[in-house]
Amino acid sequence: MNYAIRRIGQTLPVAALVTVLIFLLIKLLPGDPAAAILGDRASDAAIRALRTKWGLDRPLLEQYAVYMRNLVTGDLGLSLRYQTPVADLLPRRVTVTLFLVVYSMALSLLIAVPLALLAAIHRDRWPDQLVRGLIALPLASPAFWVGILLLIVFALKLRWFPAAGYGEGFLGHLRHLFLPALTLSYAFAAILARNLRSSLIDVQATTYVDFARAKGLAQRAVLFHHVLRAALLPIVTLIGVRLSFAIGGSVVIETVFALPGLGSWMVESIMARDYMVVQTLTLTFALGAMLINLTTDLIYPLLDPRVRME
Amino acid sequence: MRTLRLVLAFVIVAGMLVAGFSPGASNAAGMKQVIKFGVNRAAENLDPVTQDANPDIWAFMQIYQQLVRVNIKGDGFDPDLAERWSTSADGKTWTFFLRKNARFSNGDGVKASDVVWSLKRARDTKGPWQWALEPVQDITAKDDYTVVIALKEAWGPFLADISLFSNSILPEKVFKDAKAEDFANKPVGSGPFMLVEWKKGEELVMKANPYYHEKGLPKTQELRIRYIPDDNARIIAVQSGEVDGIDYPPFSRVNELKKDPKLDMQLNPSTAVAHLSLNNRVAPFNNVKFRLALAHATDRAAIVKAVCFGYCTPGTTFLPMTTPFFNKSSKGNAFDLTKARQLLKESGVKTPITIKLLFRSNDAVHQPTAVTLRAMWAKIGVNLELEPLDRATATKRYRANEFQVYVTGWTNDIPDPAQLAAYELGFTESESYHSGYQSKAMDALLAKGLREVNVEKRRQIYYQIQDLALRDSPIIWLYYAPYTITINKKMKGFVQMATGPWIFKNVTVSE
Repeated sequence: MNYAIRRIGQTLPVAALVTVLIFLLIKLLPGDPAAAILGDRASDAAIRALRTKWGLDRPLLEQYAVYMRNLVTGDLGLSLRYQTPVADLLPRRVTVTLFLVVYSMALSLLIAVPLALLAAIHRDRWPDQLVRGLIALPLASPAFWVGILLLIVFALKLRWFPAAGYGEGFLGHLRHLFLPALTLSYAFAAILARNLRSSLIDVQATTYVDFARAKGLAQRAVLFHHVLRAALLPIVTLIGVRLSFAIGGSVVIETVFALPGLGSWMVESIMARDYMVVQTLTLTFALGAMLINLTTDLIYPLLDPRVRME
Repeated sequence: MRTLRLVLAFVIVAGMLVAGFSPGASNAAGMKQVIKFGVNRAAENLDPVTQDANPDIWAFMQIYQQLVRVNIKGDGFDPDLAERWSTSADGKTWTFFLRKNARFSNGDGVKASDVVWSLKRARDTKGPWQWALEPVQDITAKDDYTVVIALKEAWGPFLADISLFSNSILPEKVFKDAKAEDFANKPVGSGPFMLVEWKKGEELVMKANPYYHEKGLPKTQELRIRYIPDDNARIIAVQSGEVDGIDYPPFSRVNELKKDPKLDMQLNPSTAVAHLSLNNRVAPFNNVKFRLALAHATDRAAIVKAVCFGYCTPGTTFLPMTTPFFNKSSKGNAFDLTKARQLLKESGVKTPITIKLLFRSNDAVHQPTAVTLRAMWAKIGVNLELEPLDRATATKRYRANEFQVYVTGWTNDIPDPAQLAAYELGFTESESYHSGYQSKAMDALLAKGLREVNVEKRRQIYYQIQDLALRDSPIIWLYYAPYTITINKKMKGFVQMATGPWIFKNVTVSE
C-alpha cells in the first residue's frame, strides 16, 4: 500500500511539470491560430479582433495562470476551431481511441499466443521456422501501408469490412474498428509472439517443468498450467510499454481509417494551432502514459509473488 | 487444446457476426433513404457571416437560403426566398418580394423582419464578407413580405453580392440574443436540410426540413457528410459503396477512377485559379520587367501536366474562365523563353539570381508546382530556393509580407468579377492579395467596374482590367483547376455549382 501511495505521489509533480512544458512548447510554435483559422483572405482587423477575443494578446504568464486555474476547476477551455468546449468533445474521442487500443491488444494476444505456442512446442522444426519467418515480415512493413493494403483487400475486394468511420452500437464498432485494430496490432503481435516464444522455451527448460513432467502430468496440463502462466509474466511489462506506443501509433491509423479518436484530433489541432485542444491532448497522452506505467508497476506484484516479497 | 479450439470458434463466430452486420435502410421504391458523402476536410463552424472555409460554406448552404441564388450555369440569378425583385430607375433602390410559403425548419414563416435582421447582422458583424453589403445605405421591411434595400450609389454587382452565402436569412426570433457558439453550432434555416446531429470532426447528419417550400424536395430524407481525410481511404470508401460520393480525389487518380464502370468521375467547372503572389514591395519584384520575365518563363502547360495530370487549363487572365466578362481572346503572358530573357535583360536585374519560394508543405498541389517552377525558371538564370512550411506558419509569414514568391490560389464566391478584381488588384482591401501592388490606373478602372450597371459597358471595363493586370503582372496566374468529384452511378441528381457548393435536394440513390 505504501509502495502504491509513493508511486502515485511521484507522478503528480511530473504531471505539473508536463503542463508547463506543454504550454511553453505550443506558444513557441510559429504561426497564429487566428490567421490559420481565418485563412489567407481574412482582413488584419478580423484577425486582431479574434486574437483579442481569445485572449492571445495577453502576457504569457497571465495566459498560463488562467489555463491552470481553469484546469483545476475542470474547465479545459474552448476549441477555437469548433467553438465548442474541449470537455464536450473529449469523451467521444477518448472512447474511440481506447476502444481501438484495447481491441488491438486483444487481437495481438489472439494472434501471438497460438503462434508462440506452436513455435515453442515444435522448436527448430518447420512450424517454428515458419512462424519465425512470419514474424519478421510485419516488423519490416510500415503501418500506413499495411492499413491501405488491408483496406484494398477486405474493404474494397471482399467487402467484409467498412472502409472508414467508427460505426454505431457495440457490434458496429467491432466491425468498423476491425481493420484499424488489426493494422495497429500486427506489428505488436509479431513482437509479442517472438518474446513469448523465447520465454516459453526458457520456462520449458526450468527444473520445475522437468519435475512436473517427471510426475507424469499430461503434456497439455504442463503447458497451460505451468509453462504458459509463468511465460506470460514478462509479457505484462511488454504490454504496458506497448500500450503507450499504441496510443501514439493511433495518430497514423486514425487518419488512414478516418476514426474520430485522439490521434487524428491531435494532428488536426496542431495544424490549426487549436491551443486548448493540443494542451488538453498532450496532457491526456502524458497522463495516460504515466497511468499505464503506474498500473504496470502495481499489477506486477499481484502476478509474481516474488516481487511482492521484496 | 480445448482452449485453443474455443478461442478459434469464438473468433470465427465473432468474425461472421461482425462481417455480416451491416445496417442499411431503403424505402419501397428501391431508393436509399440516406445520402452518404465523404469529404476531405471537416466543417468547423456553420456561422454564415464569419466563416470563409469551403467545408463550412458548402455544409451550411444545405441549411440556409438567401434572397436570390446563382443559377446552376453561373451566369444569372434564380429566385430563392425572394420570388421576384425590382430596381428603381436610378439603380439605387432594390425591392425584394418574398415568397409567402417559405418557412424555417422550426416551422416559423420567413418574414421581411428576418431578412432585415439577418442582412444587418451580416453588414455589421466583423468578418471577411462585409464588402458584400458595403454599398448598402439602409434595409427596411415595407410589410411582412417586402424588403427594400437602399444603396448609396448604383452598384453593378449588387444582385451577385446579395446572393452571397454570408447574406443567408436566419430566424430573428431564434438568434436575436444568440452567442457566437450558437451561430457556429446550431444553425436554423429555411433550406432543404436541417442539422440534426454534428459529431465534430467526424460527421454532419442532416434531415429533410419538413417545412421546405419546394414540394417533394429534398428527394432523400437524410444527408450524411462524413469526414475521411486520407485520399486513399476516401476513394476506397466510394469504390466499396460505403459512401455514395466523395470530393477531391487527387488528380493523380482521376484516370483510374474514370475507368471504373460503377463510378462517375466528374471534373466540374470551378472558379479556382492557382497563382503565384509576388511581393511587389521588394527588389527585384518591384521591377515590372522582372515580373513579366518570370511570367513569360512560366510554362503553364508543363505545370498543368505535372500538377493536374493534364486536367487543368493553363491560365491566361486573373479571372476564372467561368466568371462573367472573362476575356476568352486573351493570350495571357504566354510561355516564351526568348521574350523572358529579353525582358530580364531590359530589367537590369543581374543573373544568376536566387529568390525564395514559400509554399505549404505536404500539399498535393503546391509541392509539385514549386518543384516544376524551379526547373523552369533556372533556364533564365533565376534560381529558386524552396521554403516549404506548415500551413499555419506559411500563412502567417505571407500575411506579414515576409515572402518573395508565394504559391496560393483563389476561388470566387459570387458569379461576378468584382470581388476578385477588388481583392487581387485593389490595394485597399488586402494590399492586392498581399502582393503590395498599387496602381492609380487600376484603381480607377476597378471603381468604374463597380458602379457601371450597363452589362456591355461593364464587360469592356473588365476586359481593360484584365489587360492592365497582365501588363503589370503583380501576380503570376498559373492555371484554372476543375473540382474533382467521384460519385457512384447509383446516385442521381447531384449538382456542384461553379462557385463550389453542392446541391443535394434533387439527389436519389438507388439500391
